[in-house]
Amino acid sequence: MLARGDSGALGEIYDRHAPALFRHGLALARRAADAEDLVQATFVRLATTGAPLLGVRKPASYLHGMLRAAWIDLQRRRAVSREEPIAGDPPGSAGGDADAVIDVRHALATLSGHQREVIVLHVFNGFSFREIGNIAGVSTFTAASRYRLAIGRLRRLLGEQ
Amino acid sequence: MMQRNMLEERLRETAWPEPGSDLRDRVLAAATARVRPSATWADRMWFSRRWRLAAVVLVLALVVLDRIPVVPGSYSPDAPGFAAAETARAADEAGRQMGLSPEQAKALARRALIAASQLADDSQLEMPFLDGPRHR
Repeated sequence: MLARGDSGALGEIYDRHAPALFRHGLALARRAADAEDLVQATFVRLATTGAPLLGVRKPASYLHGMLRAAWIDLQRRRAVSREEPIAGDPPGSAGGDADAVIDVRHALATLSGHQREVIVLHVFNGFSFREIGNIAGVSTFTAASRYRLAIGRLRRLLGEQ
Repeated sequence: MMQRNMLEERLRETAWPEPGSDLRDRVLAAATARVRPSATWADRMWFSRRWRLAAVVLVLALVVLDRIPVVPGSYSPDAPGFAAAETARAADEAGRQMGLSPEQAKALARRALIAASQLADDSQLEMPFLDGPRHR
């Protein structure tokens, strides 16, 4: 559809992938405004490069890889390595109590960027470790190792309350 | 100690912030302006140097191989293939008038054809009279 210049296709792709892309951006950039900028940069890249999704076996992985590349560009532009707390609306809970939710958010905020990314991609976005490895440019083993370390840290932070 | 599955379930129950309501319009406005329609074959033909070169080479090759006439609708008598065909036809006629059998006349015409033209390909020449009992 993009090949024919059909901008309506962008809307369909946005509706299908934007929430997951936003979560991924939030895990990487930690600020809602930056996460939105990353989503926008991803779609601008998609539109600029034509119709790559037509030949892509896993469009979701491809889009998340583009978002990650946009994040790297953002980091280079800003040359800022310091991390800030996750901003934006605090995550609500699907029926859970607010304290537990805030605890989860704070626990996630203590993870490194790579660990938080693999948690979001695996737990929230449903990617396999192999797909995460492709997205992040690391081996499947590395992706699984990051996840194991992240889960271990979260378990210590949340499980021993 | 909290089990891994329980921890993952607890994480999943956490609803993350959603993108802003205006993000969709902002993203689509920015991206739609950059949507690049694919090039048609005519565009590729016109703007691609490779395509232009390929087209020129193809036309030249067809002209050289004499598959197409230089002037549409005509066949140049000056072409080597045409001269060779005329020579072969004349040899065939002469052989028959001298009393040779049709097979011998055909053989003579073929020899004349080979001798008359080293450039023309046998497959390019139309010699229907060689295969039929034209003068019987």
